[in-house]
Amino acid sequence: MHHDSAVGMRTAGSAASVVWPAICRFARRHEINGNVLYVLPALGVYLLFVAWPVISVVRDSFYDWDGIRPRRTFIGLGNYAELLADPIFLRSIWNNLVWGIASIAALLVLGFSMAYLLNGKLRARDAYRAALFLPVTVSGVVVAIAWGFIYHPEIGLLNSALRTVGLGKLAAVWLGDPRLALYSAIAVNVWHYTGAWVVIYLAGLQTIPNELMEAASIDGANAWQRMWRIAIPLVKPTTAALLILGAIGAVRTFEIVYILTQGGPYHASEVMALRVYNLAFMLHRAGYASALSVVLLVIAAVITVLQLRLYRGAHQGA
Amino acid sequence: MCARFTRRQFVGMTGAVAGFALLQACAPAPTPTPVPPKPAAPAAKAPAAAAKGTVSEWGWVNWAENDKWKGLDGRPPREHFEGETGIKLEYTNYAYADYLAALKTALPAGAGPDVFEINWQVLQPYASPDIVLPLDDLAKVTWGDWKKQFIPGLIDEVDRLGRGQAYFIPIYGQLLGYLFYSLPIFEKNKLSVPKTWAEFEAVCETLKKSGAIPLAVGGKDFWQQVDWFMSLTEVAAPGKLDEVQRGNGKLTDKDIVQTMHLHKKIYTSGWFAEGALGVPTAGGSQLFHEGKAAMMLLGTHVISWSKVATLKEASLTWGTFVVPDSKGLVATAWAMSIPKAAKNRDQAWRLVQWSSAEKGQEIVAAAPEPPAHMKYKMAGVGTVFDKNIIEPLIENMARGKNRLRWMECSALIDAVGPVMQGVASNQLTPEAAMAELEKTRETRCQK
Repeated sequence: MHHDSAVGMRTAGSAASVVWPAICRFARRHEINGNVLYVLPALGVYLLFVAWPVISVVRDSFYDWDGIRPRRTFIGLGNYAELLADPIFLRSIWNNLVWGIASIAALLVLGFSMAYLLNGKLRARDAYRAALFLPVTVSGVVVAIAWGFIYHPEIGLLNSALRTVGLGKLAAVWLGDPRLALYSAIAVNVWHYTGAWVVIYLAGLQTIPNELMEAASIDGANAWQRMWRIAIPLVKPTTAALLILGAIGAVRTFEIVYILTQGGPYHASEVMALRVYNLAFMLHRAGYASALSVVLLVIAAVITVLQLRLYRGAHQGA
Repeated sequence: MCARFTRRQFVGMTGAVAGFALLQACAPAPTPTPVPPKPAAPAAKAPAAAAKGTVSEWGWVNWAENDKWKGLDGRPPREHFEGETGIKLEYTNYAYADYLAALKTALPAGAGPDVFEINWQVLQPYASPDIVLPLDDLAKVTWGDWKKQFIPGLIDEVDRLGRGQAYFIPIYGQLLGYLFYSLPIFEKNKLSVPKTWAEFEAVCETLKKSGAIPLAVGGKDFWQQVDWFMSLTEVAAPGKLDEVQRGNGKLTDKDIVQTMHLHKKIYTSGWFAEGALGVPTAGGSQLFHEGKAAMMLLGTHVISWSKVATLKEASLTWGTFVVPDSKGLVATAWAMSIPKAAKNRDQAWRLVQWSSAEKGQEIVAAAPEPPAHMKYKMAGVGTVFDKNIIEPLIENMARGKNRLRWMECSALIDAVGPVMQGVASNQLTPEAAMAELEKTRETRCQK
């Protein structure tokens, strides 16, 4: 044993005596200086907390594993094959798509129009801005719990208010009806984030020089034309950035759905992140959940790449 | 050396490191050869001779500090335990959902506490020598014929999941399958407690016609659906669920599929509150508490959640009965296990011992909860509530009439909630729902 360790040390020593000079020669040849060391801590953190977990998830996606016991069985692409034939998984992708399109469309329209109004001369403008931004400061969990009570079909505020003003026919089972559950959750998401989009749009609108608007007015453009022809084109980079944020947010959506509906009734409002959680932590299918996570990651990456291109295009156009 | 480090070089270097990490990560995961469990490390000792030191515990009931556990003399269990044993208790309390995630990430990694809490819904995947210490030998040394000292229904769970070994020790039980009903609403409608399922349906119909909501439920919460499922299987096919779990029959057999037909009937007949599927437990039971709903199914959870003062008040307006044609269901509400990787095993066993058979059981009884050890009796609240509700529940539990009516496989338990919703919302037929459950049972529960 002692002999073995001595040999091992000598081997390691001779390896180091070969490798280190090679690294030095490489650094000299490619003119690498010591500044690279400054990057290493960040790179280390990135590898440890981002790259390593991602790689582990990719590895786990090839196994049948319950996530608890150490035994796992290698099944190659078995989890991915199962995914393609899993109607609940396909439904969760569809739900994410609906979530993204509906949320982003509503937030774009509401965010821009409110920001445009608040950018003008308005009495108590700051109070409106603060009121609009207030929901953003509240945690998504709290928002979802509060809306859970508001949506209660028997004693909830929403149905009570509808009945009080004579619109009882519109009262509905907001979270218990599979046709409405997802849209009810989307409405909460829009309510929660409208303020943030308003603030970001306000920042974009304030970069538009007043002279432009004044000149357009003198040339006879009405308020509608000034908005369509000047404001909207000039905030295109802001819109592009918000689109990216909105799309990534849609892919990551979890807590509002989890608390409001838990993905129900029967997966009607289940989104991909919630499906991953349910599979990994409730149904004890860590391997399968990892495969779904990988697909989720790929979708997020594709969306991000596409939207970054859109963002660059918007910047160049602006 | 020069001042330039090109982007290409940076990407190359990052790629090399990532590639190395990838190779490491993609190496086949070691599949350990099962090792026969070592005899549990700690030797049984009399309390006075117990080891000093520290023990860490994870859970969700806040055994250390919660006011609920101060019923004995105003002091929390931690103080009692530390005072009697000299062992410092480091307790970490989690919200229940977070707790399951924390356990699932810590225990497989060999991290985690010396003792962890667990309940019947999630016991099964942890009942393995890969994860926790086998406790049977230790319990025999400590208590002798120990299984006879605990409630039979809870010991059935220990035996069934451990397959001859004990991987957890029950601390207190719970009874499911009990309906609470509103005395004023029943009196107003001249109704008596239904004895059969047909009578129960008639009562629901009468209540509906009177304008009351027959049944309150928080159908969004899966555990509520699970409780209903287990009760309804006992109505539709008594004992069948147990038989299927023993390998005799399938969940797609005609008699047990009737469970889902009963469930569908409850929803489509309008016996549950409108929109019950989107309402959490609190929202459902609120209808009962406000006098709008006539009945709710919550079992001893209601007792667990309530303070004695609330129970005293409730006893004036509440009654209870077992779901007709069913027997009620006894299950482990709270048990303790010792992870294989526990660092302080002597202290861990001392904590389990103290909680399950000594002062801990007195504290449980005073809470009031149904103690797992038969030497201790759940405290009453000094009203007719004791006679009408607590005593029948405990008697039923101790008699073990309702043994093994629960589902032992956690994956199956977790699959029940969504399919019950699917049937109630017409997204699944009863047959398709049971087929989905059977598929889960075959693929996830028989390994």
